[in-house]
Amino acid sequence: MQLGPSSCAKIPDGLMAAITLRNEKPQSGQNPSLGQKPHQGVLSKNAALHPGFGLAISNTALGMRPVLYDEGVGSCYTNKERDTESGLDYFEARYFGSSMGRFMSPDYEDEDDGPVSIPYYNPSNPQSLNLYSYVHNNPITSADADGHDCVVQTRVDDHHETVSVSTGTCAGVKTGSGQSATYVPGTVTSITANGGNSIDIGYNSYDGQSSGVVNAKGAPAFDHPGIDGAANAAIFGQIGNNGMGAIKYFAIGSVIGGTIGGAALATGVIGGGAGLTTLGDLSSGLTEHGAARLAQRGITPEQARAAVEAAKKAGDVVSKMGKYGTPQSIYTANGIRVVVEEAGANAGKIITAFFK
Amino acid sequence: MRITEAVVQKTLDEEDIEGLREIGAPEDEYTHEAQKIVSRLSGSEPTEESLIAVVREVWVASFGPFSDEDIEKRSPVFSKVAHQILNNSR
Repeated sequence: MQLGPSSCAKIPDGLMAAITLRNEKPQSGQNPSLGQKPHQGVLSKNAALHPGFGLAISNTALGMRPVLYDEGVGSCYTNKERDTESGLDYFEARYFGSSMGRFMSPDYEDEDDGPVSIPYYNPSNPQSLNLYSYVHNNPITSADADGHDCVVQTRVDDHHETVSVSTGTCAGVKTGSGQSATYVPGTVTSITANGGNSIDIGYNSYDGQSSGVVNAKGAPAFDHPGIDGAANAAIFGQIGNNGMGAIKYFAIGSVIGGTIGGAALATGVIGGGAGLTTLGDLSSGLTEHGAARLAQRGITPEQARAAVEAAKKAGDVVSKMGKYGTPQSIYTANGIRVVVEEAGANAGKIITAFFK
Repeated sequence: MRITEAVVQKTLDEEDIEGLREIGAPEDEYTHEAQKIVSRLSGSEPTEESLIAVVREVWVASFGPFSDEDIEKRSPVFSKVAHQILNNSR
């Protein structure tokens, strides 16, 4: 925001006090009028216009309204104090030169470490050099809540983690046992499981001109002295014996605490009966049942998705409620019928597909 | 008593737990689940309770993840399927 004298609409109380202090009755024989030019820096009074009140109008030699500040008196703009020697307004982080209508330092400065040299400079976009602009002067297609996001993963247990996204860099984010923070140079748009080891964080860049993906490992293991290798082995052995495909479960167990959290985010049930088979299938947009049906029927996931898109274009989509109240969509195109769950943990995933 | 894949599949088709048959899915829609249930039993003679647990676990793996509410909604049909499988196997 550019500040200027014309924006001064309200005179602070403190300033009024200063004016009143200089208010004097006209002496006999004097005839003050509007045409009488007051001296610079001296407040005059026009009793006819403002009886009993100081007239807060005077002209300087330059024809500008005078600076009506005194030490410790607030600015009429934002109530900031003015340095009487330099004439600059103190805006806490920076000084503002009202005569120039600009700040005296860039709008990005680290209090502890000093100025930061042009953060997020993009050689292909000269506007990124302008530290005073909003979204590089491209507000029509870009928005900037903060310009950075921080993704915090928090391990819930050996098989689950939660993820939260906050604006700002991760500089001020404190992480504890079982937590990790990942800086994302833009606005997070999606978080998906990447196999069983990590998560992919999609984002739109700071300038809104590009997008990218940051891969983050699952949240680290708890710093829990009660869980040592032997205890983990016993737990994982039990899981392996309990579920189908014990070897798969045991394989999960062998890396738990290091990298399994990302997958747990997507499914929420790792170790609860689904296991890696389900995770792998879910990551490709299929439930395990859907993957098995497509494979047996010789329908590739790409064919199923193509049928979905074709059915959308043709309007051949039937929406229905599943048996247990979950909305589903039935797409029929290219000789294939595809059933997609539309809500819940499997939202957007193919339940089954068959030739029609 | 021997629980065969054919018996399990027939039962699953009849119950159509997820309602996929009624929207045109072929007869082999639940073959995958039938195979997994029989595989889990490994030739043993399960009790009705243990069979319910097996059916539930297979179902969660195939169609889940489910919330606790989702599982609760399906619990009666899991029990019915297990009961039917045992009856049809005798």
